[in-house]
Amino acid sequence: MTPPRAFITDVGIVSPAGVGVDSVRSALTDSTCHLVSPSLFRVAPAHDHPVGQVTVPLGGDQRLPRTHRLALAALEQLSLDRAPRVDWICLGTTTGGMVTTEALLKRSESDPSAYGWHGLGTVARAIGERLNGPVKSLTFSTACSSGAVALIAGLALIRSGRARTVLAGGVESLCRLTVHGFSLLQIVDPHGARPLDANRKGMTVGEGAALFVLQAADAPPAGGLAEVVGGGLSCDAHHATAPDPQGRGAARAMQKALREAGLEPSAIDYLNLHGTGTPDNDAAEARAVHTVFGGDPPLLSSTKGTFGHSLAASGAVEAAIAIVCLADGLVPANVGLQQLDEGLELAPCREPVRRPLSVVMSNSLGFGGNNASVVLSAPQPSAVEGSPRSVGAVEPEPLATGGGRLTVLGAACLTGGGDTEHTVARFFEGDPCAGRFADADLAARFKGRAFRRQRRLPRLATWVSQDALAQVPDSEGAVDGVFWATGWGALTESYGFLQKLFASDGAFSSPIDFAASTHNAPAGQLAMGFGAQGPNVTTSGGVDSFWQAALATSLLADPGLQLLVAADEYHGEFTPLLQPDAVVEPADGAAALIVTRTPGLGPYLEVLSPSAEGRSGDPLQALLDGLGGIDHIRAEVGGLWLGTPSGDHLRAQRQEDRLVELFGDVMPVVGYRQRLGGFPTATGVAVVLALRGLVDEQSLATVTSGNAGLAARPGLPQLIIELGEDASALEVGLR
Amino acid sequence: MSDILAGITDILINTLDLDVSPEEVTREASFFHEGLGLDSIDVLELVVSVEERWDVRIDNRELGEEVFVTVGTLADHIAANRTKK
Repeated sequence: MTPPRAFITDVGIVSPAGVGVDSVRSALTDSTCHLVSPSLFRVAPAHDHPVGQVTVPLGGDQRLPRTHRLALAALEQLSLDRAPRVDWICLGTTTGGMVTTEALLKRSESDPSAYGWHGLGTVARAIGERLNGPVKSLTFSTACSSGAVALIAGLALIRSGRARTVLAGGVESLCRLTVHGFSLLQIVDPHGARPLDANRKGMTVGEGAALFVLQAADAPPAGGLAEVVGGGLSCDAHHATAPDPQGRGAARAMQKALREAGLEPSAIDYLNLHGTGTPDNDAAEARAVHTVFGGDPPLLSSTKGTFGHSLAASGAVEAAIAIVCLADGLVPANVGLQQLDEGLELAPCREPVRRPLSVVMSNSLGFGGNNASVVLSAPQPSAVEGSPRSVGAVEPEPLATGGGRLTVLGAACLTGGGDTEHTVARFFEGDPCAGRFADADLAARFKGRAFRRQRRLPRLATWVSQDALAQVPDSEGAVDGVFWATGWGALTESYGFLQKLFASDGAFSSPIDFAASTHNAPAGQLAMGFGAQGPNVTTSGGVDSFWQAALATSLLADPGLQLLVAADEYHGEFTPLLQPDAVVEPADGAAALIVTRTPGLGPYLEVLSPSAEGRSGDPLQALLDGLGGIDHIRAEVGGLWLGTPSGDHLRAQRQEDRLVELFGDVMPVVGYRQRLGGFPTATGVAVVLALRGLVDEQSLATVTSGNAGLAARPGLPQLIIELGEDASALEVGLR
Repeated sequence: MSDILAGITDILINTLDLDVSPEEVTREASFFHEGLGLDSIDVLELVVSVEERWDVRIDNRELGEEVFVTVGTLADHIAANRTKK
């Protein structure tokens, strides 16, 4: 069966050029430069370079962080009343509410309620609250490719049949962290970005938001603006911040996007480069272009001299640019370019060119070597002919309730109770495992140059990844892709960076901490350690983070071994502000699974979704419906693992009571956060423990919470459920 | 001059967490490869520390390539340009 096609039927955009698609059109037509002096917060003179700042006033609830308000300003432009009901949100963002958090930290605000919009997933939540009922969301944080990854995930959701209508895009606000961080890395051009110029000195940090309505259809729907025909993901596995100088990773992403689209390189009419203006990016990307297109590249340009580099939003902003190009037959000029770098052997358009365009490719290349390339086509009556599309279309298993099964080959965890074996032993004895694994024990394993700069979060992640991979001897220590989940990201690095910045009045901070502060930094390090050149995807959405990464694996992974890994760190100063109920018991931990989409015997993990129809009502009922209903669960499930999210205890307690009432007489119910700690990605640890429990035939009688002493029913799969307003579930079992 | 060498040693060991003894940080020690083994991010961290400690800016690639050869070339550059004592 041919998978559905994914059409963009609506666009909302806010950029330094203004609000709406017409502002983009004017900027591209007139080749204007919208780079200005930063005015959102004080920038120390040494770092006071032009930025791509949104200058129109933003409405909305002024208590929300600027990031959220940018996203909502893009949302407001969409005619959602004319579109089918949105059933998923896919959003790319790297700093979430950081711009507000910085101001709070700077004035030493100690009230945790002020930090409620810090988490990356809260941007999608703010969008969801304005739609008709709660919507399931995926939040991607792959640095500068986040927006493109979100669009590709939206395509995969549609092609897999999991979604009919997706709201996809990216958003980024200027903040002190990025403005100073990139400057300290000496990759900001004091004159403003001059992509492909012989004298280019770096990028221009920017902001913006772009959202798209993506609809499943077999033919262009009325009002269809463009079709997303392919997307390719890859990882350099080369360096934390610098691209592979040969551009091999970028070339793989572009080639994969072409394969997904079933197109030859010659079919691309215009290539919108990532083209940041840093010496290294532009050189590496030029090599990649030559690898993919040989001596005959398409018309190409970078538009970052006009808009700046809006980081997580850039992939989405540039997809909106691509739509204008397709609609108007317009190839934009490479604004900012004065003296072409002849060494690149590229001929970017220096003036806008008018000619009909059918297919546009857009590149996004992020820190951590996280590469994404998207191919957009003008709406055509029939699908592009060519090779089979594999984004989301390769289904190793028939879809049951909304997710593909992942075969699990290795599983490891780390908690306050110790490494996998210690945690397993303690947990099934009924002893608590919540706590902080000792720094000294981490330091004992991670000696030497390779780990010198690693702080707590990447060490937790590396530990469990090594342990899980050691259980898969055939792997030879290598995986194809990395799918990484973290609720709060690298707290030590981001908090340390900001404190040092504030202490020096904005003059100094640590470039090392900045480079390691992005949510996806550990995933990039893991890719280097395990030679993972396939998709490298980071998800972050509170307690849903692990669930999102598992779903991303089943949507986006290539064939081969995948590392599905999750961790959160407890930080003495920052965690109590972000997650005040965690203070009762400082706890953190990590979990890793080695999985493949190829069906196999033994343990499996399956991502389950709430039923879309019921979501506007009771989230728990929607989840139960999505799982096949109460009778089905009573008959077919062997045990329930329940997670109570931070800050939503009352609702979760009601939900837990109801589940115990419905199922507590036939199966054990385990409240795992009480035993593992309240950190967001404890879900992953619960999955590892549930799998071990199944393999070792643990009865769970020692760990039941609401129905003490009932034993697990052998041979039946178990459900790991995150309670709360956005209830989600995973199934683990044996076959 | 010896205070500069001591300062550089302090940065390398305590800020960059390099696993070297103070005796290994000589004027002749090379920053890269077979020497101290720094990479590009280490160098940026060192740039910030040098500016913070001695108010000496090294803010472009060309200058950086001249200065970051050996510990001695960096120490000389700091000695010639510093304003903070």
